Amino acid sequence: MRAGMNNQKGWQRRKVWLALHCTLLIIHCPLNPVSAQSANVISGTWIGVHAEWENTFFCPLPTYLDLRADSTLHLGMTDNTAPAKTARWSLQHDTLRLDSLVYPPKLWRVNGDLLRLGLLYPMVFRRLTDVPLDAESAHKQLVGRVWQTDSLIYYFYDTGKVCLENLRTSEKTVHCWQTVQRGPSVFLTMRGNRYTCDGNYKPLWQLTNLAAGQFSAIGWQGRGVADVPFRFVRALVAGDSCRSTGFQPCDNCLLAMYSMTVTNIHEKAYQVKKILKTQFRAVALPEQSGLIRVQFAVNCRGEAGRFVLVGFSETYAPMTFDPRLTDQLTALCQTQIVPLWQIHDAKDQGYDETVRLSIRLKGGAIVDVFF
Amino acid sequence: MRQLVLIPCLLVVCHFSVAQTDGTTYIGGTAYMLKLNSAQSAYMFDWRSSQKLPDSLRTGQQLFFEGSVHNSKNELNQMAGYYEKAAQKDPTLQGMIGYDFLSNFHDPVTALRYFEAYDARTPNFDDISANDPISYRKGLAYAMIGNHAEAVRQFDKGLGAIEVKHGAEWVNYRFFVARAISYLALKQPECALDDLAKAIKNYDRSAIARFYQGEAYQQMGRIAEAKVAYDDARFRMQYIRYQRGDYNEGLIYDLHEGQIDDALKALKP
Repeated sequence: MRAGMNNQKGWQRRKVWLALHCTLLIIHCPLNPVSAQSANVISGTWIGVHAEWENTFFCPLPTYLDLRADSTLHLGMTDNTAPAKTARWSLQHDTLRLDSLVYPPKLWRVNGDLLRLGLLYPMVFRRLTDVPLDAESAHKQLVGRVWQTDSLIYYFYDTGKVCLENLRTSEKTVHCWQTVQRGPSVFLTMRGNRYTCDGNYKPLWQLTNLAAGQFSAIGWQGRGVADVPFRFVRALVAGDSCRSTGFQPCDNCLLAMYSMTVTNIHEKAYQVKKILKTQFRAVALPEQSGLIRVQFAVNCRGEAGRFVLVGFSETYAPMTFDPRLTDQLTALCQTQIVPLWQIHDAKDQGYDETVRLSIRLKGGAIVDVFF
Repeated sequence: MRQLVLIPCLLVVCHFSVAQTDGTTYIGGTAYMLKLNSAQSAYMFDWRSSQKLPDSLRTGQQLFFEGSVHNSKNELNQMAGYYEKAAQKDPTLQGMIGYDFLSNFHDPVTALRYFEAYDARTPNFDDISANDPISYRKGLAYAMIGNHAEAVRQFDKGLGAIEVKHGAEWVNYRFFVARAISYLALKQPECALDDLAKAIKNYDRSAIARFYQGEAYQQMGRIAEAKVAYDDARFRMQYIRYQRGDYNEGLIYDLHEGQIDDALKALKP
């Protein structure tokens, strides 16, 4: 009898524990989902894809992150141009630590083979899956030939130069290229500009397949990371030359908002004001009041391009000014102001810059010029 | 705040500049970006993450920074909209927004609207906006409009209070220079000289104070002294440029060597 009561009490206790456990489980589950982001998910080698400087503007990352199972972290160059830095990493309660840097769950995410870190300038890495190839054979296959993807044509010269032609705009840019062995994998790197091979990088490609009429490579193709086929177009012939069309920045990642120079303190600013105030012919048009902004880029060798002229009303609404005013301003800027920034000794100043000047108009006359 | 956010941006630019030649710099740049994206920095500079939020949930500073980003993209309509939203969300930003319109757009009318709204929050008190009395900023706006008499009245209010309470040596020399420029516009060179002497006492290296001393002497017909002041201004400017690599005294008024050349040419023998 007593044994039966004990069993009943025991069963009741078990029911209470079971109910408590279920309750805790229900409470626990939504707060702490069983994370897929375990150490296994994130450990491995991650090849840099890009950093998002703007929502639609990405700069290639030529570096890799190697998160090893023994908790050591290696940060190095994918093309082995510098010794890697070593530190420690860990993952506890979904919080990732890279050396002393902390990434709570909302600051990092693994989605398939992509690792995304941060929110301010999100960095995207892709997991490296080695594809055994030989860099020298790859170089032999690519060099002296023209290859094409859906968006670009690549002209690989034996001088180490590569010419990239945009299929949509027909613009050509010149860079340097090489194939680099990284363990068993081979990477195609392109960097620099028409003057130097030391400049920054274009997106890196990991070669995945080499065949006679086609090779393929994994990398960023503008919309995402993909294994992209490069189709053979033709062999380069004597007389094929690699020249950029129009303006090419020395920087492969030039964004106006990050390259704007402080111009008002520069002596050129006074010259610009004098040019506009003395040579601009006012046209009496009472409704032509507001702000005109002129913007242009100057590359490291003093070549200018990306000329923009935009108008705004006095309340900053977009406004198209009378061509008699804008044509004059365009001509003065292109013939007299832009040359102030052009370097005549062709020395490399080491950086590109974006210049922006503002012109305030009142009734068709310039009343103020500032930077 | 905007300056604070732009600092990491500029540093990122430095890390990834064209001129780098070795991989070590790229590794350093990546490490720096990893830091910017970590918890240590991400919440301090949270403009990007706030972009996903509706405007009603964003802070005034986030809206202000969104506006300044639109400015950098030449989207001034959106910029003005975000500045207005920022001012409504956080009225303490009105002084800063007004100064942005004044210094970056040379738009004293819009600037004054924000300065007045900022000042009206605490009647009978000269509010401070980013270390400047708001009356000083209002004075700059009136000077830009060309109403120098009102500008001097505002400068008197801003720097006068500090001068009376703490002494002239506690007044930022830029305030004296700004008032002196308005005195010169009003053809009161003696008052200007008095202010410029105080400015130089507080910051002996100032080139711009020397330049306007030259203009004051010129107005008074003291040509030899004007020439000495202009030459001195050039020397100080070159000295500052030699020391820092550029010349900038942080005033809304620019000074260039070409200006000094032209002033010297305009001096009557």
